[in-house]
Amino acid sequence: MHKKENNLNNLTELTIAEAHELMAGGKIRPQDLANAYLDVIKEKDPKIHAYLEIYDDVMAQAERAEKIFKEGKAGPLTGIPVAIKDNILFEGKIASSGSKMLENYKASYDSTVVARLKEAGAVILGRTNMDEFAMGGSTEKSAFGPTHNPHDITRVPGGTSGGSAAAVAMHGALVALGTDTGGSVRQPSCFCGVVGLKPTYGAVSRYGIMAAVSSFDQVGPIGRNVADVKTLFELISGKDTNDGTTIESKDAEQTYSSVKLRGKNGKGVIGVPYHFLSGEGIDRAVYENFQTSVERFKNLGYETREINLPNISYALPVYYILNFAEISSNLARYDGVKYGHYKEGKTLLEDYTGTRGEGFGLEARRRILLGAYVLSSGYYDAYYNKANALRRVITEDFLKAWKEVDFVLTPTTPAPAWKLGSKNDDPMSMYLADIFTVTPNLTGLPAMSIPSGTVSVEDKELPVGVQLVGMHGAEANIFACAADFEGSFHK
Amino acid sequence: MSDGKITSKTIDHLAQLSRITVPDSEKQALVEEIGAIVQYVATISSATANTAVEPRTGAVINVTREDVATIPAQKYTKTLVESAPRHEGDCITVKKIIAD
Repeated sequence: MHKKENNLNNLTELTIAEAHELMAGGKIRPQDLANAYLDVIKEKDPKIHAYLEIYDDVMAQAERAEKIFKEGKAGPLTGIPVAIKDNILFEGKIASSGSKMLENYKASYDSTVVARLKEAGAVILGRTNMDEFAMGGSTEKSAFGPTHNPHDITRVPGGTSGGSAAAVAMHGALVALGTDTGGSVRQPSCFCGVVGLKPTYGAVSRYGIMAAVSSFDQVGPIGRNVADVKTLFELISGKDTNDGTTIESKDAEQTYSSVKLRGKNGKGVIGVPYHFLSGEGIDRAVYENFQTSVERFKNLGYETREINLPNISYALPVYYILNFAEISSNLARYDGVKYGHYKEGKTLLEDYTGTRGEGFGLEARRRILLGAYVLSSGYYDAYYNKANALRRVITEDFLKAWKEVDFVLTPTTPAPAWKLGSKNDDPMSMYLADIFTVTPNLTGLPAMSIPSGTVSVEDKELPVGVQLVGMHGAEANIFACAADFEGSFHK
Repeated sequence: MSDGKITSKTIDHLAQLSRITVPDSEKQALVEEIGAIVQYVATISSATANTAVEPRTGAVINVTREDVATIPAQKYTKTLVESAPRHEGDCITVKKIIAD
């Protein structure tokens, strides 16, 4: 990493490693770094609306970080300004999941990821905007107004972690946490020109994360470069006794211990499912950018090979059936009794129906109804059971692919960021934007969106990205390959 | 919901199953949107793959634990009860559901 002379005047340009070095050397204090970020937020966020709240104890957190440095106990994340998505619990702070239902809900305990950030002495700046209960793809479904894309404020930042991606892209946080159910970290990272990782299912604890689709959800880090994302991932990942789905990273490695990168120079072989990319739904400029990206990987010494994933065209409908089913089950807990919004009716049943009708936004209600449909007797086998069976078939297709290749590469999204409001009346077209990102959630595979340049749309340069999918537990391979790709833009 | 076609009646039934009020003003749009979405996801019926595969998703394994309390009694009682919209003492209150 080359040193910039103006580092001290431009604190929000620093990487985690650069900021750490300056703080460890006493050149700057965590308070200086936090203030620099707060200044950017003050200047830019009124137009972007990445944040729902800036916490009132940011300076106290920075002072605690300074103490950790003075005690000589600082780690890579000490004093680093981080933003968290609004569905991640931070004890005593509001966590609303972008919903009127939880507008005033204060977290009763810390999520494991927040506990680890606190222990590391990170400075948590605030909570970021999101689509309500992590349903959507644009952050327009937030009950508190949309977030705007920092590259063009007339466009969406993507979603559902649009606030987190926009905060990082506008230099209003050094790194951020999002959650990814079907692309909710990768797609906004792609639209905002930053790096986002959806880890292997079970890599990061979901204790204290509001459940959307429990068999898909993962917490994922977002940053302006691969190294920052890696540093944050290393802090939050690992076994947690409070989440039975977490796996020791070594367990996942053992599963694939016989599989090493197989390319000529240890770089690995990248599989490209061209048969899945030839559809009409893909923007021409995005496809051209993707082909350039494939060439880039080749020039870096990676072998690329065409692969066939025979059932992948079913991934999106399978994903949505399971999404609706699990959403309707997980959102059953919001009934006006235990926490959150309450609307009084004449009977207990009316308390439930009124509270839920008033507290949930339209997309949440639509998916709850769809969940009831696919789970209802008479349709259960045709939808839910069949989708689960196909989910396993698609996973097997990937496990077979791993016998030939180390990675699978696709564009992250079929098109760049769209105009705010342009898909509001058509939920199906919003769902289709997830075509490439849902598969890693179905299969539990780790996947990263890496910026791959820009495309010109109406005189604006909009960021696009590629999605690199790896084997279960093979985040380390993804980081290495993604860093190579990223480096090729700076040569 | 017998013939699979989404109608206003289907929406009423789904709303009832979901314990959710759907205002009349939204019903027609929901009929159309849910109809289109169901039609799309129903495309999985054309999948011909052999679905008799091992039920596994990557490295995920079943984990069980002893059924013992890991948190000291009363530690979160006050916080949790206070986050309920209606509560009294250490209890969350709800409407009476059995008639006098």
